[in-house]
Amino acid sequence: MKNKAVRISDLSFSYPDHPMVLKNINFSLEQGESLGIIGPNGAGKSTLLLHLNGVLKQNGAVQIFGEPIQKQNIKAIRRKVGIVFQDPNDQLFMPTVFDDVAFGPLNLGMDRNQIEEKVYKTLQQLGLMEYEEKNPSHLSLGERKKVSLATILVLEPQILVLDEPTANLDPGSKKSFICILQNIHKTKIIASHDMDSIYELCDNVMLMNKGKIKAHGKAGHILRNQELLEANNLELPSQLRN
Amino acid sequence: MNLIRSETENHDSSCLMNLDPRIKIITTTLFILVIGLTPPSAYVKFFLYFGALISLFILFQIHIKKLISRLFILIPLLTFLGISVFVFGKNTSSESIHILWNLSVKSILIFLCIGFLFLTTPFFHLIKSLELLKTPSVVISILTFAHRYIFLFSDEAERMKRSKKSRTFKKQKLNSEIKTLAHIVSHLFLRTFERTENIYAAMLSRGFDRKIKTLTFFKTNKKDWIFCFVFLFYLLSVGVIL
Repeated sequence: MKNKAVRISDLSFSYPDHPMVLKNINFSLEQGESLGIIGPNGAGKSTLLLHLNGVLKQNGAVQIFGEPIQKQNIKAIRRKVGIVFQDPNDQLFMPTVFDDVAFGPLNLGMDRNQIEEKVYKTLQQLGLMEYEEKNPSHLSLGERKKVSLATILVLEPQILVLDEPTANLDPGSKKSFICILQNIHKTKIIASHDMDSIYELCDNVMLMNKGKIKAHGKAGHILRNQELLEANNLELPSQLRN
Repeated sequence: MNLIRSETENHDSSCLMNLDPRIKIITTTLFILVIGLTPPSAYVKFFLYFGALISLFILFQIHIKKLISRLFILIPLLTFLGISVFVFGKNTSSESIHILWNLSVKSILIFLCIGFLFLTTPFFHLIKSLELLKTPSVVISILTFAHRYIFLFSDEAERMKRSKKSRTFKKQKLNSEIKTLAHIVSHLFLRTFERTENIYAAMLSRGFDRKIKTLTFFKTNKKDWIFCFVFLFYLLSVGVIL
């Protein structure tokens, strides 16, 4: 039997100073599928994403390609699942764009000769060649988002996880970012409350609120359900309004 | 901070800028040591050190005016030293002048040395060189993060200050001004804490194992050794023979 790319069973989680953030989460994801996780602020989307490559751990609750996330296989799992964080300032911490993109491959013990080649290839793929020597803090938000994506793509993960990829971007940058994501043919999990980008990027959608899954199904079906969306502080994508 | 910020401005104006940063660090550190160990009455030596620094600035095409203008940041320190020496010291006035001269001339020369290092070497080259010179990785991490996030936090503090200003309708009393400042600082600390958590999560997800690794690429060539030899010869002649 072919293993699912992601399988989550009975995942519950709470931070020490918070009530339950995730309650009994169950879902699975096929290889190559794009899943959009939507929900209002505080729904638990980002916390759920942090479980996908073991930044937050619940023994056995999360399986990646049939392998439960454990201390022993964490390195292998992190190579398979790449997370692009919401705020690029959290993701980019090295003095130059080149170093930031090379950070992951170096830590995963890739061959040093290959790293340089891979970094340049990724920067080229995202149109970032001219930024390699720049300090990430001196770039615009759109550029920083692209560099954040590059830091993950260079690891060639099988599953790409994105937390609010289009938040705070101007329409032009948003369009170009969506275009880049459309051309990445990997299993994708995108958490966002930007309905437009979810509509353009995802095959399936999971709606979360207060740590629970409220709905899960085809994007076309859930994103057209105005009543459901409004009951969860969301709205129809602009493409589906009249 | 302006000194660090200016690292982006100066680096390709002279072929000497491409000297191996390790050589620059070693020679500058030696120079600082020699300055520190020079007796205060060796006026000629101080003059020659100053001459050497000016020659370096000219050779490396550093904007001397800009660097000299940054010397003003030493004024509060020197004023404080002056007050401590004259008001609280138990020395005669000629001894006090001697002490103050010693401290002032050395701090100015050392400041110029550090300025030389910063203005001729990109910060991340300095970091990489320190790493190659076997500086403990904790120090490297602290410096890297300080440099990466210092601007971010100064911008954040600036935004908070602006927001406070926009809601201040009349001049506040010193008391409440201090109180507000304390609140701003505490918020900044909290945000710093949250950000460190997020950054750590981002680092973990890219395979971080508590060691900052970088791709190093420095090569020492003839030009570096000539610079090192000439510089040390000069220091030796001034410091020992004169």
